[in-house]
Amino acid sequence: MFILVKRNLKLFFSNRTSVFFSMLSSLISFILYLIFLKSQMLQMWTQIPSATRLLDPWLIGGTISATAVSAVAIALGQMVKDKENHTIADIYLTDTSSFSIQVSYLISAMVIGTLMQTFVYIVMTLVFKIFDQVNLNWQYLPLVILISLLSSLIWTAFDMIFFNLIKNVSSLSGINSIIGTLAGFFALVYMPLGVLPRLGRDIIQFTPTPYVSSLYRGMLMNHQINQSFKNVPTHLLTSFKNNMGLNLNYASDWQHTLIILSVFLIGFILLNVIGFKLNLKLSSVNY
Amino acid sequence: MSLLVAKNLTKKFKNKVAVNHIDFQINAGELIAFLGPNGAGKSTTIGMLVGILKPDDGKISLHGLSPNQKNYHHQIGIVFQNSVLDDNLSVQDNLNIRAHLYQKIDSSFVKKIIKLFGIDLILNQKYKTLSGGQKRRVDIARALLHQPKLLFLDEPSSGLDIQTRNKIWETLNRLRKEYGLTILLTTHYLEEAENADYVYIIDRGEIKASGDVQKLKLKYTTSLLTLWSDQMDQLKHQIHYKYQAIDQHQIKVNIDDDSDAINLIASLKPLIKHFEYQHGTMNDLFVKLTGKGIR
Repeated sequence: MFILVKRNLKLFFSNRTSVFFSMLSSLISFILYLIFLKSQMLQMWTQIPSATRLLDPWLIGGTISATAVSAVAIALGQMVKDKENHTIADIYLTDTSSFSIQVSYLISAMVIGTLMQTFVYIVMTLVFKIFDQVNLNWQYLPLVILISLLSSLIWTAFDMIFFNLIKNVSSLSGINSIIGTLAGFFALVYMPLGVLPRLGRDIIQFTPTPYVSSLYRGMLMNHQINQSFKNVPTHLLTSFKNNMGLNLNYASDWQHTLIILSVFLIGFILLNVIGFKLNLKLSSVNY
Repeated sequence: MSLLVAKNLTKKFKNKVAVNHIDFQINAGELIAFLGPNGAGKSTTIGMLVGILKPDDGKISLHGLSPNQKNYHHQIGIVFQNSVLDDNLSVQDNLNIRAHLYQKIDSSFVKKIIKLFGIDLILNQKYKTLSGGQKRRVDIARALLHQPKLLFLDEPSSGLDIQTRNKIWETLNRLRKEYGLTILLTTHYLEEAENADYVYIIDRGEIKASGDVQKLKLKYTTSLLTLWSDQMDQLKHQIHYKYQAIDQHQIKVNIDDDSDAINLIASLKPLIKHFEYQHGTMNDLFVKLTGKGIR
């Protein structure tokens, strides 16, 4: 099984297009932020001291969350490619069980998702350190890796449900485009939760993305929030957290956020098990 | 001794019957050819035999194992019509990865296969940079890594030059001799089927004929004796076989028995300028059984 994980990782990283597209949504959000969104958001928060130092980690948190969605989707796309050109049939005809084959795709997607999120975190941290002199603390790195592992696991489980039903690469690229486009919106990168209409806010909160963003942001912004809101009335802090998506409907702290994310994960795993029981996986091995 | 037995094998795709209740058996050590036009059901049959397509009806048994049993996979190797190895990985990586997916691999056998197929010099090249012939040799080496008893070759020679084809067959024949490898081949190349111990001619999902090549030719084709003469009228009077006059100096006589042909030539010797005697070919056999039309 681990040889297959190694294979999938080698294939992913040897293909520059895959690596580029897995970071496309993060690149788009980063550029949009720098060109348009940053100044607009800063205007909304003129009364908060050092708002830039709050907004930069806010963007990092959302962008890493969006990266997880697109990177995992691109990584898991190898499974669809293998199905289309019968490579999966060739692998299936070895002594390796179909369960191990599926798990190997899952593990490689998780590893790729985690690595890409960590990479984006490090790059963005360095960029903001250089341009905005934001003093970002490297002690968050182990926690970033842990959260990225969790979000990769959630997205792998989610994508697995649908990718088992896709049999050709053209459908896959269509789905990846949709995922790449929506990831930034759902991770609340392009606009804060507060500016969305009620229905939009509710729909977004039915997906794991804002919770992952909230987990990252809560951690990365914590120190600066304490600094910036030291002498500011509490209702302003609550309003800031509500508007910026740090507080969500059912998750106002990291413990609740983790519980909600676990519920998503268990739900996705159950759907996968049902799919496996219905023999969707084996029937997709076609000649 | 029969290695693989298939009984009443049937596969339908929606309303189309791709394979229609066919029975056959493959004996250990033999080279078996499935010959048939495009869409005849050859690849579907192989898909069922290797266990990646589920038959709608029928049974397959390889030494008592059925395709859904994991041990079955270790007994077979398959070379798919299209390459299934990873373009962006080296030949070495491709072979290593596949080898690790089997439980027991004899590394000395793997080395031997690599050498026999002449791929030791291209091991570090990326698969996508290989020529068609090189790719095919790597594909076959991959299918043999675990030393299977039965090798399926689905159109292995399509698009290959004669030198590559000869090299492949030379190596495969060596493996048949040394290891008793059994081969099931589907092909369009009729001369490739000519080397088979037993041929199944498949069309529209059914076995139209089967047997060894010589017997099939005798049964389904006619040998032709072509005679050239300047005294055609006299010649025609002395021929008691079915014939077709081509022009004033040439006539084609349907005559199946070699000794009859010799006797006829001897009796007509004073009247004949030249002659040519041609046995029925695989081409004749193929067209006779599967028709002339293009589908």
